[in-house]
Amino acid sequence: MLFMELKITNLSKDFRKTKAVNQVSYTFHSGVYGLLGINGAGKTTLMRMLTTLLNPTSGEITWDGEDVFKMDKAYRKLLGYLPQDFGVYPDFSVQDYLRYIAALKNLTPTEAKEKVQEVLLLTGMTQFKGKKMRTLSGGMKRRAGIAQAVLNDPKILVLDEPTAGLDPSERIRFRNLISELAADRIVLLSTHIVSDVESVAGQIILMKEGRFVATGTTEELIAACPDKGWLCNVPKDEVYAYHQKYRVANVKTLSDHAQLRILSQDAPMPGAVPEETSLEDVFLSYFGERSGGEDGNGMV
Amino acid sequence: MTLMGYELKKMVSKRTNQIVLFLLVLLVAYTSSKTLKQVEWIDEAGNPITGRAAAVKLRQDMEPWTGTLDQPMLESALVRLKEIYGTPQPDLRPGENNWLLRHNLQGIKHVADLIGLAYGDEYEDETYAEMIESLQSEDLLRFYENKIAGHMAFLYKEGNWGYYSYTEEEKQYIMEQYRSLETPIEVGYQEGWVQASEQIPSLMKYCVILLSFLLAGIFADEFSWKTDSVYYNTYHGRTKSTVIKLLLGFITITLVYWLCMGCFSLVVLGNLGTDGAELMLQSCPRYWSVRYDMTFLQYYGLILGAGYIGFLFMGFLVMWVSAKTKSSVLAVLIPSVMLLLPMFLREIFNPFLRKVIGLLPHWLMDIEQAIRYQYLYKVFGQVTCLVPIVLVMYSSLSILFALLCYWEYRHKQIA
Repeated sequence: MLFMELKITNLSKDFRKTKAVNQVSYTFHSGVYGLLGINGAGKTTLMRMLTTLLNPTSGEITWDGEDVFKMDKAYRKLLGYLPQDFGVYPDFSVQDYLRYIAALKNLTPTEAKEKVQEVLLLTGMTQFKGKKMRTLSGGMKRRAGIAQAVLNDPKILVLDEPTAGLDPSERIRFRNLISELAADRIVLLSTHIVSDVESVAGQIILMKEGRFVATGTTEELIAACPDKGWLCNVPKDEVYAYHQKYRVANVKTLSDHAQLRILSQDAPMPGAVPEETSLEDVFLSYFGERSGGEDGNGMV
Repeated sequence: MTLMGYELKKMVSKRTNQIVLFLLVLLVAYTSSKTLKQVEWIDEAGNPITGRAAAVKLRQDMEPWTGTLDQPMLESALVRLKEIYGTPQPDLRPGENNWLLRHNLQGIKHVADLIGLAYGDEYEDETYAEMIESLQSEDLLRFYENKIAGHMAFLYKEGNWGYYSYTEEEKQYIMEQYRSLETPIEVGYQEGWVQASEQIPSLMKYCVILLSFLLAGIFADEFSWKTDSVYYNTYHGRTKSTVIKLLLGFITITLVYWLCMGCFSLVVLGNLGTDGAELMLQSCPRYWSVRYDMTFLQYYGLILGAGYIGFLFMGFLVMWVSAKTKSSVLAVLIPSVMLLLPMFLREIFNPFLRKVIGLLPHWLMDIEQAIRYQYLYKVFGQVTCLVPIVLVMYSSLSILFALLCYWEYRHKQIA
């Protein structure tokens, strides 16, 4: 008998003429999976199908061999989900909100009381439990979001852009929290911030235009990446020409020249120093100049 | 707290809803007070009093004119009316300004009006004195015959509205109903019921408009607050919780309706009195053309029952639209449109359109008009009136919209 297997087979979702998710297949077992892609790659649509919020146009999602849409409530009992666009009931206190979600997740009042205390502690929200949700900062709302997601001790935890809008210290805290939660469950973490995935995900899935373009561990993806990182010192007036010819991962302007980090199979110029390839390089190699450009945060 | 408790908390903690609840209280208080002021009694000096005190005085004045409206009572009434109109008065102006005439008439007004309707071709204050002057006691023997003859003329005399509005079969059906009415009728004080029945439709209409604000948010707020993704992702999100939301809608409709109408009825009937509950509608001049043997108590029960069905229908429709559109905006407009539309359509005289208007839900909140206007339909080969049709139709539609609402919300896709 299979155990803890979430399988997607030829899964597609069309929105009118757009194929948001296009014939993807994959099998998830226990562990943290990082779903990496630029905005519009189809990550959120995929996650919404995995959480039964959206019906697929075609294909199948099964949990231990059973169709998740037919399982209905039984499948949702296994789910925890933090959506990208996480909304709250403005006039509920944090504690009320969590108790309400606990009730929706079929926890008895006694279980809910215990579990709410536990998740408040886990997310560091105990002291804010009486605060109205509308008064919470973005970071605190996210923490309340993760708290609600784990209330039912889910076997499948889906986190869509959980670190979006958080400051660096909140992001680190969040990543640590995800690592703590990873035991004995499937954690699917979607983001376009490479460092978030790199630090916590065992398996990484690169998604582009609705398809899985590469999957594997960080090391496997780096090994499979056709490009390597090169550090090159070039005259300032030639920076544009290099941008046109190569994928430039980084530009550092110095007093008399510019230092470029270029992704290329071969050395782009004499004197170029080879550097260790990172996951960011892999990301850039697959997604090119569009990566990280859409939200303008340049995180890649 | 249970799921219902949390849903209720979501509803009542919303500022808009708190304002709506406050407005509902104000509305009931205002309508009740306005209704009490409709009952007026004028003393010998021409000073009017209104409300409870007026009702007490009026009841005393009407005491001698309470009982069976038979030949002896009609004859006594005619004598008294001749006396009133025959006495020289300082300023015998017709209508509202003549306080002395109004003072003298107020105890016998209900009988006077019924005589006017039975013997006056076109009952008007100006011609009334002349009519009373010419009327003899033997003429009163034809009081009930005249009533039937008047209804017949309405249907068969060219130039009358009824002449053009009904088929021969419908006219016969109407006349049969008139002939089957019990006679002689009992008359007496019934101001509490009359005023309550007259004013309650306005209260219902404003209440249902306000109620739509409470109901529209039950389903749509999950989307406007962007809590839908988490909500639908939970164990009960698509099942039990949707039922709870629907149940909350039903409870809200029921509570708002019965509390508002109950308080109004309690204040109005408590102050103006419940006397006349067993009197037939036809004993009131306002209901002269009613074709049903129905007491005021039964009639008020019908008004309340039909209004409740109207509230259920509008309420579930509002919830369904809000669930369908994921927004409250369109949903809150529904009751206003449904109630205003017939006002415009009514101006167009067309027999077919008249039949269509007759099936609109606003009648449920205006059952008085539905009873007074004679809308007829042919169902399974039988001519039947509007009221049972709208009651059955909108009860069924309420259930249908409740089911549609559940289906819509349960299967919502969150893109």
